[in-house]
Amino acid sequence: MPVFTSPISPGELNTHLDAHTTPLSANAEDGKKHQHIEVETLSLTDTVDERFRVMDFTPQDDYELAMLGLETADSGATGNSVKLSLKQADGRTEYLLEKDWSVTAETIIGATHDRTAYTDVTGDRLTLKRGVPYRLEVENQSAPSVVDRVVGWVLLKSRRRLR
Amino acid sequence: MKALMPHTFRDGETLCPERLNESFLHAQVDLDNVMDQRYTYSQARYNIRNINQSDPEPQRSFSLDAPLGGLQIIGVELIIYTNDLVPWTISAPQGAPYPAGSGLKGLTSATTSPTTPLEKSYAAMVGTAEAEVAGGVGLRIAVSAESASTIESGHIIVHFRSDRAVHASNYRRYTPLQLDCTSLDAKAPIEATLDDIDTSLTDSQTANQDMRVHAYSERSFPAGTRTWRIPATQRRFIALHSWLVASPGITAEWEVFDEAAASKYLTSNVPAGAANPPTYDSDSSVQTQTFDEPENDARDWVITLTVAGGTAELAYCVLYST
Repeated sequence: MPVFTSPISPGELNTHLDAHTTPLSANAEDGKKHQHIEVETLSLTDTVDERFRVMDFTPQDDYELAMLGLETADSGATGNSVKLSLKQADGRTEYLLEKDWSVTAETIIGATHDRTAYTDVTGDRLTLKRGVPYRLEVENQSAPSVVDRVVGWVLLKSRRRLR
Repeated sequence: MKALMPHTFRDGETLCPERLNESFLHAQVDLDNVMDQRYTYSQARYNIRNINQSDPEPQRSFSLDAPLGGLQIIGVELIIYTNDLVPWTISAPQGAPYPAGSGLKGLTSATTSPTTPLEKSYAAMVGTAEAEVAGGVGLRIAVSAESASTIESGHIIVHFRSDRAVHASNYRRYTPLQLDCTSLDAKAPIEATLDDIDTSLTDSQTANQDMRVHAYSERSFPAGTRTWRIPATQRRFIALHSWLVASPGITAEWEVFDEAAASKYLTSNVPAGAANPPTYDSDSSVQTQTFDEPENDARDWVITLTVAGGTAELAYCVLYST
């Protein structure tokens, strides 16, 4: 494709050399993608075995923690509380920076949606590391009572990788 | 990368080949930095709660049939809790009635032996070989126990790696032409080099197909409806595949609604079918989430399963996005 209208124009040369930088930056930004992992439990009481209210996952890539979300549905009117926590599946805390990563739904009547974002520049940030076993856990903090349905999710942000 | 070229050429100056070459090399570094970033990882999870060894084999199996190339399986995990303390195996058997495929090359099976009912039992098929499930090449993953046993709770987790480079007709690397004084006598080499930069950039943009996979599954689901929410992160959905194992006369419909809850996208309505093989349906209409507001539940998209006519022994879908 002809570039120059005259033998060689410095202005045209500058323009064409710089022209790819902005779309290339945008192309790199396009590689940032989200995905979510869910844990779902029906009839959640405070005594339900852990095995029925956890979801373990081991990332095969490093992910940025973007958000924790909790959706509940309860036909009762007792105003239960449910907590979703991101933990390490082995019970340790070093890859969680020894912080509490959780979201709580309180006074549940009907359907609720509670979300905590971790993308604030000045707030807590966490990178989930490849190969570390993590766990999503929901727990009913109201006793004795039952919540009809609980779906907790973690929203993860990934980037393209070299391999 | 956002920095402009290292040199600004000005009227009246002698066009120096070294400065021009440095600018071309700068462009090469920029392009390589972006194009080297090819791979995106994701995982799909299948709920296998209440699966019993006495169940027919189709009720203990999950199929995959990727809509685009460049999707590789790099590992499969099995997590179970069972009271029976019987070993369970995950494998990738091939052949009818499921999509024929190359299977997990080198990743054929793994077995876990539960020791206590309340503790997680785990097995993983992981290896260096990777299986492509692209272009109609399918894959089936099944679980089985050595003897009578029920999985009280558990999941199959399939790990994927998507390679965007295969989606450009020519994922071409730009190799800068190094000019000398002789070549500066003609503008053609410079124009050709600028064209090469444009071509590489176009390839990189064309390859914006970072596929991610998400699965939903239900066992012994009675006639009725269940929904899940997909936070709004400007995902571009490219296909919804669904399978049903159920008696004739039972149907399952998977639908994806946008944030307005009025439009209905990506409908995959599995027809009534026999229990074996599973019936299958797909929708490949491309739909994109407009908003990037995961904190706002009003912007969520919703995926809905509706079963009619009786209990679906196994209903599951796989949602692909880029």
